[in-house]
Amino acid sequence: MASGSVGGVLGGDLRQDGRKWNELRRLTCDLDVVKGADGSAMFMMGRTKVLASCNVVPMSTSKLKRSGVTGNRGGGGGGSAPVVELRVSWAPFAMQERRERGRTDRFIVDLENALRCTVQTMLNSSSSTTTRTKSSSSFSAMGSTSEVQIKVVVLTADGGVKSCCVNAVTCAVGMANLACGNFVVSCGCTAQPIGKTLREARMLQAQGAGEGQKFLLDPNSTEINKHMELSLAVTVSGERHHHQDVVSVMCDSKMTPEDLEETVDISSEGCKAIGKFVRKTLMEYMSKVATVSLH
Amino acid sequence: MVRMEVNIHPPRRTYKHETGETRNNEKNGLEVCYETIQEAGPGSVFGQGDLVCVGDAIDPVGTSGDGQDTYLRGHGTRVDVEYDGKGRRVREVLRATVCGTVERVNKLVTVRPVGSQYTAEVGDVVVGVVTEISGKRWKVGLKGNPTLVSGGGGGGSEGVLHLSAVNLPGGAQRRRTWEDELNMRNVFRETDVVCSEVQSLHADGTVALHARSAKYGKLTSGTLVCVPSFLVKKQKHNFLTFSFGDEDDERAGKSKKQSGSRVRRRDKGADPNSVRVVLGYNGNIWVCSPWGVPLSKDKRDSDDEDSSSSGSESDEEMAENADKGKRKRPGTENELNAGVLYNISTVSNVVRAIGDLMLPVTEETIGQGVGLARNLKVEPNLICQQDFLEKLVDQEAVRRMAYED
Repeated sequence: MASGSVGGVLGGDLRQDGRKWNELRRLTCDLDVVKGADGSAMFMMGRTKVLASCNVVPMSTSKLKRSGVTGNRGGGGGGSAPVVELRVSWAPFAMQERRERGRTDRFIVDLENALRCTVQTMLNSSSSTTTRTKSSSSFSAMGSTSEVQIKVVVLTADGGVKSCCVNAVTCAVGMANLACGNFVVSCGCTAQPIGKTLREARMLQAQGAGEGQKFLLDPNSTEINKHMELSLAVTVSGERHHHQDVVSVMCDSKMTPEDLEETVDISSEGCKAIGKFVRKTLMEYMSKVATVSLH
Repeated sequence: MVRMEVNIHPPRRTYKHETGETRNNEKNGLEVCYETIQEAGPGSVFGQGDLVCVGDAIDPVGTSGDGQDTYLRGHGTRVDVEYDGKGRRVREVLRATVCGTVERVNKLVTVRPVGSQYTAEVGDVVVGVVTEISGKRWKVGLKGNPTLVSGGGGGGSEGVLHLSAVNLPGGAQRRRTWEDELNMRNVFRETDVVCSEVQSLHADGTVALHARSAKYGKLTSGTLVCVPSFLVKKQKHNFLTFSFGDEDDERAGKSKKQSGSRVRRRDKGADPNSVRVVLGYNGNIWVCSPWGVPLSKDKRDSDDEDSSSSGSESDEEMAENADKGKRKRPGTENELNAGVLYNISTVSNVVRAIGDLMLPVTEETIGQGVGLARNLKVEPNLICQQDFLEKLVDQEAVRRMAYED
């Protein structure tokens, strides 16, 4: 078998880091890592490492006045979802070469917007469905005038940063006991098929690589550099046979419709696995706290 | 469509948690101890509801259902309407919106979040830090220590202590004049730690406090420990005293320890070796020398004074100091010697350890923790280390076993 590597796939079925095409990286999630935050999580997907912390504070009066218009629009009486403030900071040492990313960096702004939308979806879906019965969905005495402050720090970036951020924020929000309709998890997939160029195709042929292995799940930065990335965020539900709602699809490269369909399928499978993991982590933490803190 | 299987590697913890737990793939001692606790109950005995995660369907009827199919949707739940392919309504499912335990009261189904943040209730004793003086009131930060820069915290819930809600120097009730307003900083100033009671709750979420009783007021000569607020359960006494006697007293304490707690409550005459603890329901805990708590400083002179007269006495003292324009520092009169500081740090670190372990913070647990630390002769700086934490969890498990019997 030829020993050359093609598009991140080694000879045989394995990728550079030894995974199969449909294997996720190692997932690790530590909850309650930031003292003084209502909810915090350190989420790691392989070497990508993101820290998210979440605080619920009563909204200051000046902000309340400013957002008075938007708050009424979004809420429609009853319990409107809280306002979300989200900040992403990128550690300069996150990637191989040192790079400062300021507040106005295009990537950061993009990420902030995407994450803010995700969180709002999560929090909104709890209140929108409950308008039927008028009791407010607020979980605390703070009611609708609370503000959710989320801080995200990207500590190490090795591909899948967007996905990792979404997962970290989900864990943090879940731990902070904010009322949310569904959790949102995210997983990435390479956006362009392997073997696109003639040379690669020939090498693949020579290796006799199997069919249907065009995309790689949860790519790392090397793979993303070659094949770009599509990041899919979906809701996660408790039951096995429940549908997933797509929250966002983010992709920077061109794609054909067929490729899009396939990559979204692949990513959604990955999301299922991540959703299971997030749920398990949170439940373990909650059951530990619930039993241990009993008097 | 491709058939695939997604594999997840088991998570492997690679870094040390700041509580000192090493989190490896194989369970360490602490995790095992936790499991013993979880088995020991009484969590399992007192039958909490099922634990649900966000998005889980809740059976509205419950296991003990008597056939009711109507229910009332309470906090922490939402109704999810499921449609079939043609957009027809198929069924309604009750789902959780927070992680927590399901509670059913008659028809009402609620999910109570695990470890929720502090929601004030009237009558709660709270410990806060004065953050701001504005107009006629002090603003008191109730969440964590706002003077520290920590994880973006501190901006949390805020209490308002009105000028008219404190006992002013000069004793009896009277109108508050503009002079009082100007002298507010002599009573409490920014970064002072204040102990007070929740008087009322406003609709917008702010909390009105009062400190009219002599036992409330400024806390001095001690340290503030912040733990998650849900660990501080409702209990009889918020002002605790832990006495650190001499050697023979310690032996007596050992024998007492078997019977449970070695706490001497309502300690008259403020034993100079004791440590006082104020448990605020908002999760702030003040650990101080016997003179750090407002009421106790009167007790060192005379035991039998009732609170009202001692209150006025302290007021006079306060007035004196206010005239001088000097801050009152009760701790300085009674020397904070090394022994007292040592005891304070022991107790405060025990409280910190208990908070880190997510064990309930009560008189009993603190007393037992302190007793354990003293029996094993653990230095205060080692209390938050893994070895001691394990022993603490062990002890807690034993305590719960005892409850179960």
